[in-house]
Amino acid sequence: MYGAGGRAVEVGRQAVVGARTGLGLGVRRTAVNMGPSLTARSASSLSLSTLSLLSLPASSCLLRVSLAESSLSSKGIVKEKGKVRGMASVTGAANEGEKKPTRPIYLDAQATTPLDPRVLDAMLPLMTWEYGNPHSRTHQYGWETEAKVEEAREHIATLIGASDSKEIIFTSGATESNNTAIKGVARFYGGSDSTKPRPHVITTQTEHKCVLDSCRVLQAEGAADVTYLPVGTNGLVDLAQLDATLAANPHTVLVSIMAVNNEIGVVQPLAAIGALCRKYKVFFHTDAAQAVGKIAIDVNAMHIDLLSVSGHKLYGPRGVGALFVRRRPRVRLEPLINGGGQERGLRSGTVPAGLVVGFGEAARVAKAEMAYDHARISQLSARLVGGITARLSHVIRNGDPVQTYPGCVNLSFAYVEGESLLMALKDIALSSGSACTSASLEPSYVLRAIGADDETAHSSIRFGIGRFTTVDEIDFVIDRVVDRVTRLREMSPLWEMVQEGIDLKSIEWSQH
Amino acid sequence: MTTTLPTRAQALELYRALLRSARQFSNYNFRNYVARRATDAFRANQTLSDSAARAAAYANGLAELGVARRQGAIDAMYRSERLVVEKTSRPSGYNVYRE
Ligand SMILES: Cc1ncc(COP(=O)(O)O)c(C=O)c1O
Repeated sequence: MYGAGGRAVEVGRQAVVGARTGLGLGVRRTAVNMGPSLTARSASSLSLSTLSLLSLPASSCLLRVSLAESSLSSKGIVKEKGKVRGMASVTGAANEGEKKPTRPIYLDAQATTPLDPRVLDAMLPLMTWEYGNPHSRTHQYGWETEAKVEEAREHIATLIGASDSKEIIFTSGATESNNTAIKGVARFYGGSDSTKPRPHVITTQTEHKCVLDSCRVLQAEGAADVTYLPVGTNGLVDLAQLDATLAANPHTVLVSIMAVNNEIGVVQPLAAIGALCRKYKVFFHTDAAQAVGKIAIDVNAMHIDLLSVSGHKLYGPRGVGALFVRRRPRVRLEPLINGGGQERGLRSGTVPAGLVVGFGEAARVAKAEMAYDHARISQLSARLVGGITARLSHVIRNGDPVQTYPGCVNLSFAYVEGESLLMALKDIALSSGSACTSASLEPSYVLRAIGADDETAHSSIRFGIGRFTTVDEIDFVIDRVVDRVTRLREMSPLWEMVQEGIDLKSIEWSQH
Repeated sequence: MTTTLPTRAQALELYRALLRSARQFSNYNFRNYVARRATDAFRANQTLSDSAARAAAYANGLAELGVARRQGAIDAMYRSERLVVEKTSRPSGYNVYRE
């Protein structure tokens, strides 16, 4: 029985991995439907084996992709659709009667956001006839593009409260901005001078991978020492601990703490962190990819010295971002990319004018629409959380419920495995965490850092609400989530035991 | 940008034109957003008494209308499948905006 259950879930796994490795739609749908049909047959073992499967290494699941691909001919299985028993039990039969294929609704605004029509409208001239190189100084093509690039720079500076648009450096995205800021400052202030003490960098355990990996590279090179501060169970840094760490490490050159967390949405106390950094005369970098355009940011009031922005998180194009680098007091950094000396020498390479102009327009719109968007997204967020928790028990909200950006709602559904739930919710584009880590089966390091146990981390889903989300979409999501969680729990022996009042923590599992 | 103060009839005409431009979008989310945003803006601006603010709101509305007409036409040319929540009818296809 154990084996049968395990198999059922393996099919489900193949579906997930298969979808991510770019299998066709037919195969994916089929595979998604197969999982529950098999699990229905061995329903009672679903949850136990689901949990046990979590300990499988990711590689063993990846290996099965090829099997899934070769053994499931999409057409053959689709024809048999009607015969597969129990299929509707989890995935629902909503689409059965419909002839035309439908597209899932999008609720993953932290991964990326759609291009606002106003942004595309601003970009199109540069993608057609306004193709000058903004660095060409000898003709109209160059001048007109340069003027538009500078206007975009102004919009971004205004959005974050920078006093001078020269403080904005265009990059390829927040990943590059974060790399440039962290490696750039540490290398400049440490440098090759071996007589200088090794610089020290402070960051937190819940940063985006690109911040953590930049720090790891510095450590591996011996270019800096790094302290990864823990966060509280609400996801926020402890200011007293930051203060103590700064006091204990006089060679600290940089504190890098993100503004809004991409997985749980918590907003760090930027102004208080900025004030501490000023007190110790240390530069303050913040990864504000999820914050800029969503919540008010003022680099001067918050004493921010370096700030990373991403175009595609604020309804701008993917592939462009910016780094704010303060000029007074001046922050110096060693560039990552050397060449023609564009962008004050900090980022050589021809500025992608079309992307930059779209990014600038996105920033202009974000500033004009911030109050409206925030009020609306808060309403939708409250509707979503209220609607789900009114009809389901044992739902945990991850991260601080108050110090949070409402467009990012991270919920854990106890006794349901997150990946199974995601599969059962195929009509909604959702994620169980950040896009960068969801390729692995590891539970989210962010949820681990806030003290979530493995089960909670594995049963979490992130709902990303954006400017274009409708009330109908939220209501659809509430209905689907309530229905699917209820069905999955009904199949779970663990849930049955909980209903009977058995304390699961008191059970000794023979398998693990 | 114009800075003329709109008459009540002009303001209403702009509102109706924005709603018409919204219907052109094939994208469910944009179609709803353009109409909702116009409705909310006109509701909020009804009580504007300052004439400079009213003129600015009108100019902004005209600019948004230009974007919505152009982008609605483009959006109607690049269509996706329907979203699962989509109930309202979609525009029939590429259709250069007509007054
Ligand atoms: C907090 C945070 N930082 C950085 C990034 C990376 O941004 P980009 O895709 O622009 O490189 C993301 C998005 O994935 C993010 O959420």
